[in-house]
Amino acid sequence: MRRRIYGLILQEIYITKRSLEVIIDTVWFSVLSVIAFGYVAKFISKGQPGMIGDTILAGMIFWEVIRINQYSLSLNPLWNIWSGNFCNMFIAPISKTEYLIAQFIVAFFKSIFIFIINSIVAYYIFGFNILTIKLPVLVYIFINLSIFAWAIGLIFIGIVLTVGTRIQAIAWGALFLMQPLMAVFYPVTILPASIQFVAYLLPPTYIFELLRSQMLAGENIPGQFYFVILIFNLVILIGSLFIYEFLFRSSQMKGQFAKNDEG
Amino acid sequence: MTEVLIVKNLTKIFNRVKAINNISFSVRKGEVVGLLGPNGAGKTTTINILTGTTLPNFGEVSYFNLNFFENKRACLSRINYSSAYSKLLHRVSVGENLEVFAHLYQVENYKEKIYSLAKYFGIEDLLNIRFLHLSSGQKTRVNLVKALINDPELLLLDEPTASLDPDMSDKTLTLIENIKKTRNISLLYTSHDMREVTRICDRVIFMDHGQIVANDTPLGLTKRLKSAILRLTYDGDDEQLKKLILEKGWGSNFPKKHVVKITGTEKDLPSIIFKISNLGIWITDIEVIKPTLDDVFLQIVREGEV
Repeated sequence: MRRRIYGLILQEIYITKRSLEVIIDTVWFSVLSVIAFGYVAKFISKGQPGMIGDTILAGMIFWEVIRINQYSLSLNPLWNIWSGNFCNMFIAPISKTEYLIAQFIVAFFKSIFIFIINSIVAYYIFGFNILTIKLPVLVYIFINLSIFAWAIGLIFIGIVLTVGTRIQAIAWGALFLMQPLMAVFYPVTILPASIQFVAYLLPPTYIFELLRSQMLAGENIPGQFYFVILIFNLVILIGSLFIYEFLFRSSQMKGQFAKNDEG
Repeated sequence: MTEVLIVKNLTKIFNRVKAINNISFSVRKGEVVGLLGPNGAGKTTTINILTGTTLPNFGEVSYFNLNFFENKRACLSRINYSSAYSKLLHRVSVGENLEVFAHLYQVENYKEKIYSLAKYFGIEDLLNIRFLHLSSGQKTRVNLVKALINDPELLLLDEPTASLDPDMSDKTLTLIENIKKTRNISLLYTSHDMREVTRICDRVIFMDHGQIVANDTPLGLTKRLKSAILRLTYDGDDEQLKKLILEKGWGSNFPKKHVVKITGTEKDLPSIIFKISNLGIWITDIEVIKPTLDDVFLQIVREGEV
């Protein structure tokens, strides 16, 4: 099992190494977003307590954790499909579990790498130190956002496998539809009351609220809160695994799975 | 001989249309079986089910006496697949692509294995080249290296020579023949090219409209077509010959002056020659054109059976 997971990780390393788009979409786009939002935060913070600007910047840095995880997870099958290699992969004796574990590992490490770069950029350009957030809270937030990104990424992969590459743009675009609902840069109470209900169905909403309350008020959030969000997130991940399994099978039943490689 | 693949009552329905309708066949150890048929016959769907990329509605597939759908990993680790249409990662080098597959198949001493296979197929100089920079012939050979990386006992080849020029196609077929000889592996081979199939297959399965319409050796299949063409070069009275042909109701045409092609059953051919000679026509050359797999193919496509 380990050897096959290693092979899948190796493939992702080779794809990343040879694809300028991946480097631009991850490192370049990410750093530019942090810089742009850093200046927006600086502008908004004029005459305001400094921490408000910091929450916007921190929101951007953590938003990139979701984006990079989901992007990495959803793009790997597409690189294989675009090359006509996807069926070859699954004709090899790999299981869906091995495939997903490899993609989770790659996505997680890519997001850590980008997170570190973004944090350094934020520190040197805007004087924002991400480590002002307590380390256990930071790790908790990071892991939870990654779990949610994997859940969403799995559903996006499943949809692409079932419907075909004509809707491949969801792999890098659809996540942004959720961004306004997740209260990444502002409190959820800013949203219209009718939409707040939808926002609370998404675990990252709680995470970003928690992040702001930590940064602005230094509130001690009860331990149960952390636990409940984690469980909520895991339930969503498990649900998405079932959806992925259903869509994967449905793609094989419809014959779309094999057709994907034909372009 | 032991059966390495058994397919029983396989059915696949797409949008209420039976792409494969209750087919059953087997492949024995060391046997090369051709899967033939016109476009839409169900060959590729069959291969897709056999590789696990498409799921059937009904039926069973077993490799090496193991139910495929219950023992997918065990089966997939002992078979492999190559197609003119499947590719490797375009931007990644040939060697890197093969290295990934070596890990997926858990190949021991994979570096030596990749090099020796690459050398066998004459692509050792391409290992550092990106897959997208290769010609069609080179890609086919790289695909074959990938297909042999796990020393499969059964190789599924889906039109491996499609899109190759005749020279490269011939070289590829020679390589496939050598694989068969040296490794004693079984092959299930789909193709549109009847000469290829005649050349390498021990047995041929003809599919049409999702069903198996014939399953025999290439010779056995051609023998089923009773008609043959008699090509005669002659010297004598054309009008008399035409009158005889009309009288007997033989199918015929005159491709050029003093040459006639007459269609009849093989056993009728001597009497046709005899009757023409009796007219006082001097036959200077006789050629019997026997049916080929192409004729079998056309018969199946046009009439649905042989």
